[in-house]
Amino acid sequence: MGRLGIFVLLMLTAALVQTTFFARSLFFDVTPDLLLGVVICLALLEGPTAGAVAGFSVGLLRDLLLDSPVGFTGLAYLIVGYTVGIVRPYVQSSSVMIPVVGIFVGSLAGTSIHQILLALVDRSSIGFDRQVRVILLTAVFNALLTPFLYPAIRRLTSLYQKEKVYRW
Amino acid sequence: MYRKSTKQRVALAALLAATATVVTLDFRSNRGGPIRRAQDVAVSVVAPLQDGIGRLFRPVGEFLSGLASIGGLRSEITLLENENDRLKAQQREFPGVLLENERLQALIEQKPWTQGKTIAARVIGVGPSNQEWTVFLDKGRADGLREDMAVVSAEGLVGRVTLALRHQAKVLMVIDPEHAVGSKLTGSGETGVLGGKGEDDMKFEFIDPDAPVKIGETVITSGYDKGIYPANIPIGRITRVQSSRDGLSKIAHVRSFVDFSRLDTVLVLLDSGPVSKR
Repeated sequence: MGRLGIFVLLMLTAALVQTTFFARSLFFDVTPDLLLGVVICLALLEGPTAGAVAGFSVGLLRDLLLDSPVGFTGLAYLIVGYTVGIVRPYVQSSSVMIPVVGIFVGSLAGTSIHQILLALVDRSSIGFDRQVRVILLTAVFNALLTPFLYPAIRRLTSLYQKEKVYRW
Repeated sequence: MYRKSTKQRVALAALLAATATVVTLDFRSNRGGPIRRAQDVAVSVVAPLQDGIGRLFRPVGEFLSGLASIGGLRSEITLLENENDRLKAQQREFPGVLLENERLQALIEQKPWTQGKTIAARVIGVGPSNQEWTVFLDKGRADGLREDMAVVSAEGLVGRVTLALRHQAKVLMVIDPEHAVGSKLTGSGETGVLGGKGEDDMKFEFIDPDAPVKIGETVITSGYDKGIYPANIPIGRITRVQSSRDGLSKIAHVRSFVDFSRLDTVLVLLDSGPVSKR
């Protein structure tokens, strides 16, 4: 299976798990954002371009499944995917905490950017206190999911990059 | 060391341009065009899979959310025990009620709000978002569903169809903060607007701040809001009443009759919706 095939499969699986298993109000009325977690993992493993492409397509899929203005999640995830991919090589560490911190900060940024974009076009439908709760808890939940998510995606991406040499 | 390549910049620029295009297309084409077709494709790919996986996962998800609400369960048990006693007492009056029921059945067949042309649909998925209270149904345009049709359950009002795709439809639930419905009280007939508050109780804003309101009173649709909802569909019960300090406005908190976390089968009222779209 090629790189594209693996990616599409990953995206669909994440969307499905998000809408079924992580259907809303699982814990404290907030659900983890698995799709954003997948984007950040790909950005960490594959660099900024892959992160940006993944962010855009995953965000677009999410928008299409929702009714909210289409393209806004795409933009937010695109920015996060690209930035995480750019920053990763500058972090001189191979600690296991890297993906956890990356996903936490990335989720924090991604959800905030999305909320800000929605507020800009006056389509934000939830109150400020709930916005803050959603942003913080989504980041915490996503960070907690990292130990399951990151190794799984690393294994998947290694399927097509055996010959690739890392230089950072 | 790492260096930004031209290829990378081109990719980023292309993606940003794509975003701008998509956003513009979406804002310009109101319910139609390529975005709508893309939505159709995305939902028709995901929804059937969702349906299958949903059946597998739902018990697990319910178990987990059950764990999170274990504290509330205890008070719920006491509540249910009380209700059980009450129901036992009621059961003794059952034969009399049965006779009365037969008499009433002649007057109203089944639930009065499920009259007319309806179609039953199953909830196959939940909108993947922390800020939208929506569900997907397994029926769509092909089955006669259109946007703005009312959706009800045996308990009362569920919401309205906001997106009718070929074989699926999306329903905006009454508890969504974007949702508002013209409604009135069964007792006094006072009218107002009922808005969703997400996980919290809905908010009923009265037109007349001096309106007499009783806790526990039932709120039903008034049928005044451009005809989306037919009149007299039960929505919920008043749990709390609040007056603003200046006495100029009054707000009641309303708990829905429908348990939105356990929504399964619903009815779509095919005769409802704005007159212009029928």
